[in-house]
Amino acid sequence: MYLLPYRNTIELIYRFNCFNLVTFPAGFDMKRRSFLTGTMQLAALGLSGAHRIALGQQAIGSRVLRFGTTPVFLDDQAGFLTRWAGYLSGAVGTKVEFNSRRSYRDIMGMLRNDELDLAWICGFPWVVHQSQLRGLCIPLYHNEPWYQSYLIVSASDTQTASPKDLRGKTFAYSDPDSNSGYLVPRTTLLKAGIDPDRYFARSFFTWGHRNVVSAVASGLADAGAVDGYVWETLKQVAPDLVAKTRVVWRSESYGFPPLAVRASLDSETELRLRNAFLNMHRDKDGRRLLVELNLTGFAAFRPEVFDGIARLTAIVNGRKP
Amino acid sequence: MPHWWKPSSWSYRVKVPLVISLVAVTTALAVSVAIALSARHWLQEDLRDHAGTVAESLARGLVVNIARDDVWEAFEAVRAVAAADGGAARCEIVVLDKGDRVFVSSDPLRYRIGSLAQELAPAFFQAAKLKTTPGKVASAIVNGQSSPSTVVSTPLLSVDKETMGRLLISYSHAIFSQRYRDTISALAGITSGLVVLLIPLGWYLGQRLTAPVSRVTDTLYRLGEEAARHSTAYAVTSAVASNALASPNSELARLEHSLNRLQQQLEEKEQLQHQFVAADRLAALGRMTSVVAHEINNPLAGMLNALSNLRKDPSLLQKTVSLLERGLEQIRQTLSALLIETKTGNRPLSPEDIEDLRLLVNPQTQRKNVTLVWGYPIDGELPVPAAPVRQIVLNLLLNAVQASATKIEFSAQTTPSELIIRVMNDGTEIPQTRLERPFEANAGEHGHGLGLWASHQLVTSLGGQIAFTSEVGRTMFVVHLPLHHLPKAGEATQTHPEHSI
Repeated sequence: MYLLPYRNTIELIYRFNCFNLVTFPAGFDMKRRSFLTGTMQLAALGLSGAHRIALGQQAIGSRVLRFGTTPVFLDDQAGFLTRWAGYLSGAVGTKVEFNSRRSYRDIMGMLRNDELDLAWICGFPWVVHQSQLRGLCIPLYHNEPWYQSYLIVSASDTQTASPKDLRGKTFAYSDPDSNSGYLVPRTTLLKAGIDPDRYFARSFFTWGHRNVVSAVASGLADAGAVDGYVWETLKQVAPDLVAKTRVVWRSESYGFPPLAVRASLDSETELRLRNAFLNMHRDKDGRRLLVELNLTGFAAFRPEVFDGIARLTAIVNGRKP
Repeated sequence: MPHWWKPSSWSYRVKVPLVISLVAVTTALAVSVAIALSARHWLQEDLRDHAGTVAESLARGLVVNIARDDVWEAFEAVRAVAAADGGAARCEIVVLDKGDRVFVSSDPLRYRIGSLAQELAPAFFQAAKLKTTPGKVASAIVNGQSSPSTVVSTPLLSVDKETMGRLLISYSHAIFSQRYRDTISALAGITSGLVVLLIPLGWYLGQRLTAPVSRVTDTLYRLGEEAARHSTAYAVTSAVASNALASPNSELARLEHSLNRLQQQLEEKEQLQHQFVAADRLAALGRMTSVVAHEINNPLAGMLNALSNLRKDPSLLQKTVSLLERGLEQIRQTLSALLIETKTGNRPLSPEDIEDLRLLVNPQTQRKNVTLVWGYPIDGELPVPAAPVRQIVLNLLLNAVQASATKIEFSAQTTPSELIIRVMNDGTEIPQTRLERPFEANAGEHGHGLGLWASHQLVTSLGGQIAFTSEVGRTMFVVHLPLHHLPKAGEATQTHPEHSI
């Protein structure tokens, strides 16, 4: 049994709470707040079943194409997403809507439950769930479908040179379903005969590559594993933040986080979607969006691109049967 | 030479505004200081309340974070509160786990994940040692390395009251001091603004307040100065002269000076008036001297003549004795009227006094050949002092004789409260120039000019009134004197000094 609904509920309550903490004025009625939290909890629990069915039917009707995003790219730029959605709606001929979630797992769950029509996922979940999905296309980064995982440390740390220098440190992973932010660093250590669960004094997830950079930049973590593409893109978008970090190690190249559609999506829509992405670099608006994405274009999906990630997955699976 | 550095010599016009301004400014400053002191207290209270509230609200999320071991979310939460991004941190937050190790902190470089509470900054270490009760926020002010801090500590409790860790928040008073300084500077700005407003306002009000006093002082001072300059009679005492030279700077001193001076002058004036009144009495006698001498000379000539006849014819003895007797009697009466005139005293007016006046004036009317119509229908004494009344009436009669053409009239009547005396003559009317101030001393063509003035002074001193009407061929003086007005002996002596020939 997949624990998505439960996780979503907790997530909602939790987010709601966090939001409260920051924005509600001091002296906000505590009773009211806990009442609201309770109501939210009930509502979320009650909704999860019916909600799923309704959303699935809607997706089948193809009135709106629901596009799930993950922190594989800088999905926290709402303005950009609106422009991209507008572009894609025009190119596909159907309205496209973006849905962002906190973790890869949320998006994967929604995609597999037909709550989303397509999503930009990571190579690692693709390898794990490929039977339930269909690959749509692969983004081209510097004209290649490859990217690397970076090991970053604080810019003031001049000692650390490789993953083997991280013993007893605090380590920031991106997401448990991330290739570059979790699978790569762990398998790298495992290959070196190091147990990552005992190696670090402390490790935690930041639920986003950008957060890994923030965690390392702020000193919360001594080191972190980050999507090389995101780090390089951030370098242009937020140079001040990136300047506080230093890349000490780059992994070999792995398949760039691909776009996938739900298995049940009709092939006509899939074709229209694929053509929209593959032809983005051909028109001016598409090129402008690609520049913002720091990509050169999209290529047709090729499963063999993710063989490297599949090998890493095997290492992890071999360790944890 | 002005002694401007001595406040006692400053002008009232400067001192009062200065004092008002000073009081206003002092009040403004005092209020500011009071507010400043209160503000410090309020800021501290606010900080403590704020810290407590922040701790309470933060604790709820942190419990979940610790339970789920979600360092990142906890970090985002504490960092959002501490505002570590961009600018100075509002506060520092450390979250300790069950084992008193740092779970997360707002400044991970200073308070590293996993470090022990003992390794924290003194403020936090002391905060960690604060005794806390579940559900309550403990707070204290601790002295850190650089500045004191307000620290709060609250246990992180799960829903079933299991302690999951501890939340510590430290507010450095450096930030608080900054806010305090801002408050003080704002306050200083407002106070200076107020002072800038209050000084001119106080000055203006002070000026308005002192303006009448200043005018009075100036007027009095000028009055004194002018009087002293114009009247040679007054500039007699060396004290006044030397005081005038001193020319005090302070208005109040000047006022006092002027008042003293005026009082002195008034005293001198009064003294002079008495002298004048006395002189006037003698002058009236002087005016009568020739007539009186004639009055004495005539009977004397008659008597000498009778004695010469007696020597020739001793049989005339009886007749001569009788004639001498009558002649001497006449002389005695004349002299007695004169003697009474020179005397003063406090005795009531009798008909004899009036008769004396008639006796004294009669020769004058005869010499000038005017008719004297005499009407004094009052018997018995009247309760008015005889001497001043005699002087008043004699003056009026002598003036009337002098002014008259063919006739003068004297009449008197009493009412229950007044004695009314009228003296009329048919001479030319009083000239217009004198009409304006008829009772002022004036050296006129006829006589010394003191007569009317002295009469006026005397009537006034008796509490009465004197008035006159003047038209062609008829000039009449009317004197109203209140009855039952007999001044005491001492007063009489004072107002009418003893004089004798």
